[in-house]
Amino acid sequence: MKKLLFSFSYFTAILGLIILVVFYLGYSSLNNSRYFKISTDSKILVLGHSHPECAFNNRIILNLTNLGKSGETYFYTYLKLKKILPQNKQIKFVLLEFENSEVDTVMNSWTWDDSHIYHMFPRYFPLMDKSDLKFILSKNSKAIFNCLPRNFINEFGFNIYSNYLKKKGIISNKRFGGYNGLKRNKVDTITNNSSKYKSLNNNAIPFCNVFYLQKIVNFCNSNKVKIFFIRSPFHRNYKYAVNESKYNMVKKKYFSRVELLDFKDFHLSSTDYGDLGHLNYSGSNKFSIFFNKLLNLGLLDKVDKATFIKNEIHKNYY
Amino acid sequence: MLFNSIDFLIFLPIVFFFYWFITKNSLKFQNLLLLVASYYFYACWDWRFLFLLMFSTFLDYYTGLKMQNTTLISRKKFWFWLSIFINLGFLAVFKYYNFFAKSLVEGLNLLNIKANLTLINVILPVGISFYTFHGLSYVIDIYKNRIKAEKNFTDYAVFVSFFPLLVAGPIERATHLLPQIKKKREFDYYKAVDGLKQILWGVFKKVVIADNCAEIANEIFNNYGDYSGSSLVLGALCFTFQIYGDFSGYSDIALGTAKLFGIDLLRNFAFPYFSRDVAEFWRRWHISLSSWFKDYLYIPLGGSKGSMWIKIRNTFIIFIVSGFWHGANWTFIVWGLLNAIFIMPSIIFNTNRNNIEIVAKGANIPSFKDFLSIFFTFCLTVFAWIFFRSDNLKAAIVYVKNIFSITFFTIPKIQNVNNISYTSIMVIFFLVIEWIGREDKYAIETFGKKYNKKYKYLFYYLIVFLIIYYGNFNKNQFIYFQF
Repeated sequence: MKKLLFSFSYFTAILGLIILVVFYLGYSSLNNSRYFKISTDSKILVLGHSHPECAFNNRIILNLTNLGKSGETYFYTYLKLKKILPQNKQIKFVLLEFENSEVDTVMNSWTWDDSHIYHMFPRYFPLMDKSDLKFILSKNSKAIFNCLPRNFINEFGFNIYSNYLKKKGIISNKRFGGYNGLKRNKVDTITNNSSKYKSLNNNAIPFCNVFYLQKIVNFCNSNKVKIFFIRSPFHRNYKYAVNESKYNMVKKKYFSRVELLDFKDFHLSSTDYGDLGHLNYSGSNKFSIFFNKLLNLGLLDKVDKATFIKNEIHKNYY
Repeated sequence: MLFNSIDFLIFLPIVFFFYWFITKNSLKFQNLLLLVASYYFYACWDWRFLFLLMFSTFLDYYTGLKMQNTTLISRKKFWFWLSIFINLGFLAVFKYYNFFAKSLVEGLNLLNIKANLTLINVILPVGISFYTFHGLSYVIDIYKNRIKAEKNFTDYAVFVSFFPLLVAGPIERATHLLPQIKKKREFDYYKAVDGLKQILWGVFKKVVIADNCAEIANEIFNNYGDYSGSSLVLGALCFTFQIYGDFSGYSDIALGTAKLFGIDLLRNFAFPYFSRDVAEFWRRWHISLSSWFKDYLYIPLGGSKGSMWIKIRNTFIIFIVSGFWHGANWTFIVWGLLNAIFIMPSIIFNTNRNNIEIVAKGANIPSFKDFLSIFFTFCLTVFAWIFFRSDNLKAAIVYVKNIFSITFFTIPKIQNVNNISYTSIMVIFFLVIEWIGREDKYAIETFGKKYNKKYKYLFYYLIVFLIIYYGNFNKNQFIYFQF
């Protein structure tokens, strides 16, 4: 019996050790002082979900890094931001996407429903502190425990590999965001079937999303980084556009001090959209050229940014 | 409680600890512990059916004693038939009543006779077919004076409900298991290590092979109308590996777990997909059930003695009953029938015992003839599984019809499943290991024995890694639980 216990313990101890080493390396790779280091020329950081990810082409807009990531709600953005700002003191401005879907309760499921946890938790887990972990565990602990070990191994393996590449100065992937130029255009097919979205009228507010948005704002303020909300262009038939009044109410009630750079009325044709919410490559290029021009004209220093944007849109497109 | 669950991962070491550390000096307490653990294990599914299990156990125990204690043949017969009637009665009610009622109504409707029979709404108690067959074999053996009735109720109850075999076999015989339960068990290091290895391989078969193949097979079988002939073939192949990985994986875990408690269970699988004819396949697939039917049905019917007609009749009976044992659905009956047809040439030409030894014994690769025989047998098996897996006969027929269409020659394309490539790699890896280990009781029994200990351990770590990495942990039930 002793022999069995010894052999079994020996076998499992080595296995445990291997798991611990992979875990440690994967965890510490993401938590070292370099992982989120971005170009020292970048003074502006763009964050948010897939809308900014597809809108801001940072090959066109100078001094800007786009780290928008599809499916990322404010909870996950906050985790990322906590690592990015301390590692990048050159960042002076954060442009955070704040559009109509952010005030819809769909954001709750984007944060903690089974399918999102399944993909997001293994990736963002090393960025969480106790309170973040407690929060997500309180929302859907079952899904967290059901995450496949494979996902953790993949993520941790990628962390180690990316860290190795970063040491060599190679930015290997967009696991935590980056510009994504869409090639598709599905607007026509979607608008033909969009009648079902007209019934969207939900007054409930995703308080967790709002809570983490507040945390992002506070974090930027405490790091002396100026934060702006930004609303990237979307198609007039975009399904969440119907909750404009709720959107304005949330903005006014919780974030009146944060300025909004609103581009929802930016002039684009249907062929410039990948779908109703996202710009495609062509649209993002047009928008990025325009946005770059505004930056050069001192958009972020203007007193009345909304009027400035409106005037510039009018001047350029009408 | 599933073998591939966290619950079992906690349950097993606790029982193991109590068994070898607390109750090791007393056989009585060891058996009592096994009984309590087994009942707890069973109650984790549905505690209400525990009473059915207890009743069935007590019935066979009591009737067994009564049969032994009486000198009157009529009394003996009475107790024997009482036990048979009640045991099969439970099976009939829980498993077959709705099937018979529906079939009768449909049959009468075909004759334009209006009939209406009430269906019962009850779930099938897990493992009922297995523990009923345990009990039946015990009662029949006493009736035939092959064994003596067991006087100790605890020992008998452990025989029926020993948790590794309780819900999906192997179907044990009193002559094999009861003496082990009654004998003092000493801890055997090599047996325990062997058990752990077999559990490891069983888990691999279940969570890596069966559960990943299941995702593909389920998608295709559930939407067979949308898929090309080649994709349907892929679906049938996936189910072929799913059911083997699932059931033989379960058996391996059961046998391995029993070894940890110093008990050897009957072998249930012997690399059936390397069989060279259907007769060999049935000597290697679900061995405990096949041998049960052989001993308690085929031989009493006359077996292979007598005229060719008797042989053919008995073969058809045994396969149809075997199909019916799997479930109350015409698909299982047709599956049994197909196997009976496939085995017929061997029966008629008396070649059914041509392939007794494992294929290519002592060699690395099979001869061309063996390879062709294996391939042909495998194709027949895959074909029969289509009927086993389909929801109903109509679906099975359409499935087969769609295979033999022009789309058979296209490249398979499967929607909604993204694990096809790595599942294929895993199946190939699995087949290679099974082939290498085919002369042993299970594939990795002596794997790497010739090599340095280091490499052997590396191989086990590889298996553990594959389980962790490729394992599908969606708490998939074992297929045979439904039988």
